[in-house]
Amino acid sequence: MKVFSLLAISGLLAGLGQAWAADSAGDLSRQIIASLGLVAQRTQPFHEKKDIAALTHPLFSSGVLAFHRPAYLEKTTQTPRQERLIIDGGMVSIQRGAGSVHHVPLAQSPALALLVTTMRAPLEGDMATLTHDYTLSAQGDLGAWTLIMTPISPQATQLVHLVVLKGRNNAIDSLKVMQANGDVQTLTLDP
Amino acid sequence: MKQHRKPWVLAVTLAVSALFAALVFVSIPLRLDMAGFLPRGHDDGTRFLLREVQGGVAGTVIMLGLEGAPEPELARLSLGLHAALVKDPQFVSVLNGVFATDQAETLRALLFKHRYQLAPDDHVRNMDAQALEQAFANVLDGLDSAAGPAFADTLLRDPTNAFIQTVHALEPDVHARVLHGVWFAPDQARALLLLRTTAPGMDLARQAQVEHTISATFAGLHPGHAKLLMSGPSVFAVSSAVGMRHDVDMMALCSFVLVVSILYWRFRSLWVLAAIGVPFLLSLSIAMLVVWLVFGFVHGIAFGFGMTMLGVALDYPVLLIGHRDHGEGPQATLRRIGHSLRLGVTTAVLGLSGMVFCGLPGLAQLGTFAAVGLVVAAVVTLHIMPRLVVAADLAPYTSGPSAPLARAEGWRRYRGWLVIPVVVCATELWWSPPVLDTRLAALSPLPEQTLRMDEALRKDLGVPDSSLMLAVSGLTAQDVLEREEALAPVWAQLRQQGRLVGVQDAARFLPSVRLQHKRVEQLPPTAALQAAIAQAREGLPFRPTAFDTFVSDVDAARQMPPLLPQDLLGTPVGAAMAPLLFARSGQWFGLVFPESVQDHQAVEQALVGQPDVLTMDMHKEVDSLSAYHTGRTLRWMAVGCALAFAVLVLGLRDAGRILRVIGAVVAVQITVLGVFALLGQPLTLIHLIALQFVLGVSLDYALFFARPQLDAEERARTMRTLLTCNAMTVLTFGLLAACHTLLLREIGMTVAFGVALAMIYGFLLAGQRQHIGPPDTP
Repeated sequence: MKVFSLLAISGLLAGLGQAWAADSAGDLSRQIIASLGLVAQRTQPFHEKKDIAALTHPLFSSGVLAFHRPAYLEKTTQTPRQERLIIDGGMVSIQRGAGSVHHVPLAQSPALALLVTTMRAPLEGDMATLTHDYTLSAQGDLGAWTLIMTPISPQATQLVHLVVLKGRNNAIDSLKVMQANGDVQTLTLDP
Repeated sequence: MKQHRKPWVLAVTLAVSALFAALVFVSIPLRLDMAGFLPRGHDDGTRFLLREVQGGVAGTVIMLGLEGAPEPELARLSLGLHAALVKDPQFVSVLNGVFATDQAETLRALLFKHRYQLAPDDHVRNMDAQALEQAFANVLDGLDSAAGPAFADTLLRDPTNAFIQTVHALEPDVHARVLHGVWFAPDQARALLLLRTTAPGMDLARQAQVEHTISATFAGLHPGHAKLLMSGPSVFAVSSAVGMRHDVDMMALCSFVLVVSILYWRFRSLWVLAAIGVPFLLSLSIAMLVVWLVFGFVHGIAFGFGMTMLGVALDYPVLLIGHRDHGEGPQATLRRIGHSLRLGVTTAVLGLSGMVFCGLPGLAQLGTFAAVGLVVAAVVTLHIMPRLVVAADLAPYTSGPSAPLARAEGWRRYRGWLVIPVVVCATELWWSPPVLDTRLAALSPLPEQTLRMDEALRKDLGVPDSSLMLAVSGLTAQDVLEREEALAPVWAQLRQQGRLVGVQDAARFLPSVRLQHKRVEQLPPTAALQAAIAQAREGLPFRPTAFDTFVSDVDAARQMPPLLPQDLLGTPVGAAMAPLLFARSGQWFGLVFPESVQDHQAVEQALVGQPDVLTMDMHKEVDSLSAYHTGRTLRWMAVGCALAFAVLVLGLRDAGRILRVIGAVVAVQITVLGVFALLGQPLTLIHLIALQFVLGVSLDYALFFARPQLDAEERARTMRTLLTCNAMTVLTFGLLAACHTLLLREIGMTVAFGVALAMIYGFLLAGQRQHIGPPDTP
C-alpha cells in the first residue's frame, strides 16, 4: 500500500506534547521505515479528505494508489474527477480529466519535491532522504505504530507544519499532512 | 659546401634578417575569426546591424542536440546537463523545456509582483463577476487536484492565471515537443537544449572554454552511446579558428620542409639555403608588417597564404643562383636574367591586382601580403643577393646540358598536339560557359552537413537565424519599446498569413511604460472587485476571506510603478533582453528578429512606411555584397591584365616572343577554365582570384622560357631552375589543398593545377624550338 499525499495532520497535536524516550523512539521509527521499505510493490484503494482554509467544506476524493520500486508512485483519482499523478524518478506528470499530460521535473519545483519526499520516501524505506527534511519520532510498537515527522529543513518548515503516518507492521493506514498555512490533507488507505 | 671565400657576410645578413623576422612574428598576433575576413556592409545601417549580429545576442547562442539513445535516457542526460550548467556562471541561460523562470527566485518574485502589468493577454485582467466565477471554478478544480495543496496559496492569490501567462510569454517559441519533461525534436529522438553564453560569441578563447565545459559535463553523465551535437555561431567560429590555426601551423611546417628539401636537392648546399633564407625571411616579415600597418591586424588566412607564397617569392633568388656559374661576378648573372626577372615580378604583382582591390578585407589582405612579399623578394634578389651569392660563391650543384634535358627540349617538336586539350577546353567553354557563383555561402568555411544540422536545430528551438533582422531606433528605451509594440499588429497579420512564426524583440520581455499603464487601468477598483468576487463565489464553497490576498495584490498593482529595464538587471530576463535593447552613442536601438520567415519579400513589404525601422535581409545583403565585390574584382583583374600586357609589350618589343608568351598564358587559362566547366565547378570569387594569380606565375615562366636563347648551358640552367621553382609552387599550393579552411583549399587546388600547367605550356609553347627560326604559336 502506499501512502501518499500530503496529509495535513491536524489531529496530532496531542501526540506532540508527549515525551518520548529518544532512544526507543529513534529505534522504532527506524524499524518502521525499514519494514515499510521491504515491500517492493503495493496497490491500494484510498480515500482522501482535504481541509482547505479558504473553503467552507472539505474536499473528498478516492481512487487507487500504486507503488513499485524503484521510485515509482502512481495516484489515480477516480472520484469526483479523474486524475492521474505519476511520480517516476525525478519527474512528476499529471493528467487531469481528458486534458493533456503536464510534466514537471522535481528539480524545478521545491514544493512538489517536498510532497514527493513526504509520500514516497517512507515507502522506499529511504531514511536518508526523509531525515534530510524531517526528524522522526514514533509511538506504539511495530504491530500498531504512529510515526511523526517534524520538518527541519528550511524548505520543509516553510511549507509543512507536521506529518503523521499511522500503520501496522509494514502497512500504512493513514497519512496526514498539516501544512504551514493550516490546510490539512488526510489520506486513508483501505487494507 | 663549396666555399672558396668567407661567407661571413651571408651569415651576418641571415642573422639580421632572422632577428627582424622573429621580432615581427612575436609582436604581431594573428586573428583567426571569420568575422575579420568577411565584408562589413555597404552603408552605416548594414554595418551597424552586421556588427550587432556578430557581437550580439545571436552570437552567444549555443544549441545542443542529444541523440543515439532511448528517449528516457536522453531526457536524463538533458536534465543532467541542465542541472550542472545552470549553476555555471559561463551561461546566461540554460533552457531545455523545464520551467525556466524558476531559476531565479528573485525573478519569480518580481514577475509575480508585476504580473498584471506584464501578462500579455487581457483576459487575466478581466475581473467582472462572470469571468471571476469561471476563474474561481478553475481554482477549486486546482485545489481538488493531487498537486493542488502544494500550490493552494498561489492559486487563491492569482485566480486569473496572470502569473502563468507572464511566464509563458517569456519562454522561447520552441517548436519542440515535450517528452519526459524536456524538449525533443518534433520528428526524431533528439533531446534539445538552448544555451546562451556570458562571453560574446567572438571571444574565441572563452567560447572554446565553454565548449570544453559542455563536453566535459556531458562526458561526466556517462552518456554511453548517446551523442552530443553542438551548433551555433560561436561553435562554428571556434572550430574554424581551430582548423585555421591547424592549417597555419601545418602550412608553416610542411611548406618549410618541402621548400628546404627541394632547394637542398637542387643545390646541395646549406649556404644556398642560408642565402635564400634572407629574401624569404625578409619578404614574409615585411609583408606581415605592411599588412598590419594597412589593415590594423593580420588574419590567419593571410598568413597561411603568405607562407605558401614563399614558394613563389623564392623563385627569384632561386632563379638568380640557378643561373649563376661558379666564379661569375655580382652583375654577370643579373645581366642575363635581370630583365626577365623584373618583367616577371611586375606581371606577377599585377596578377594580384584583383585580389588587392576586390574590397573584401580578407582577400585584400591576402593580395597585399602576397604582392608585398613578391616585391620584397625581388628587390632583395636584385640588390642584396648578388653580393651575398658571390661572397659565398654559390651556384647550382648540377648545371650544364644533360641528355634528359635535351630529350625534353626535343618534345617541343610535338607542341602542335597541345592544340587538342586547348581546343577541347575552349569548345567546352563555348558550349557551357562557367557559371559565376556570387553567393557568399561559396566563401563559407562550413561543410554543407554542418549547416543543415544547424538549420534543423534552429527550426526546432525557434532560434532566429538572423537572416532577416530589423532595428528600431528612438531617443529613449521607452520610445523603442513603443515602436516595437506598434509593430505588433503587423507581425500578427504576417503570422496569420503564414509568412513567419513570430518575432523576438525586447517588447516581448518588457512592455513599455505606456502599455503597462494601459493594462493597469483595466483593473477594477477595490470596491468593485470585492463586489464581483462576492457575486462570483455564490454557489462555490469559498469562504468570504478566501480571495483577500488576490484583492490586495490587485489593489497594489493599481498603485505600483511600472517595471523598467533597469529593474531586470541581473536577472535571466534582463540578460536575454540586453542584446535586444541598447544605447549606442546617445540613441536607443531595439533589434527585432522575425522567426522562421517564409517570405522575406512579404515581410519587407509589410514594413514599408514604418518610421525609424531599418530592415536587413542578411543573406541578400551579404550576397549582393559578394556580387558587388566579384564585379569589382573582375574590373581590377581586367586592369591588371591590361597593365601586364602593356608591360610585356614594352619589355619584350618582339612580336614573336610576345605572341609565344601570351599564347602559353592564354592556353593555361583556357585549359583551367575548361576543366572547371567539365567538372561543373561554378566559379567563385576565390577561383577568379586564384586564376589571376596563375596568370601572373605563368607569365613569369613563359618570360623565362621565351628569353632569346643563348647556349645550351643557359637553356639547361633555365629549365632546371624553373623546374625547381615550379616544384616549389605546385607542392606548396598543393599543400593548401589539405587545409580545413575552405578558402585556402580552393585557392590551393586551383593554383597548384594552374601552375603545373603553366610549367608544361610555358616550356613547350613559350620556349624556342631548337635551331628553328621564327616561333610558331598555338
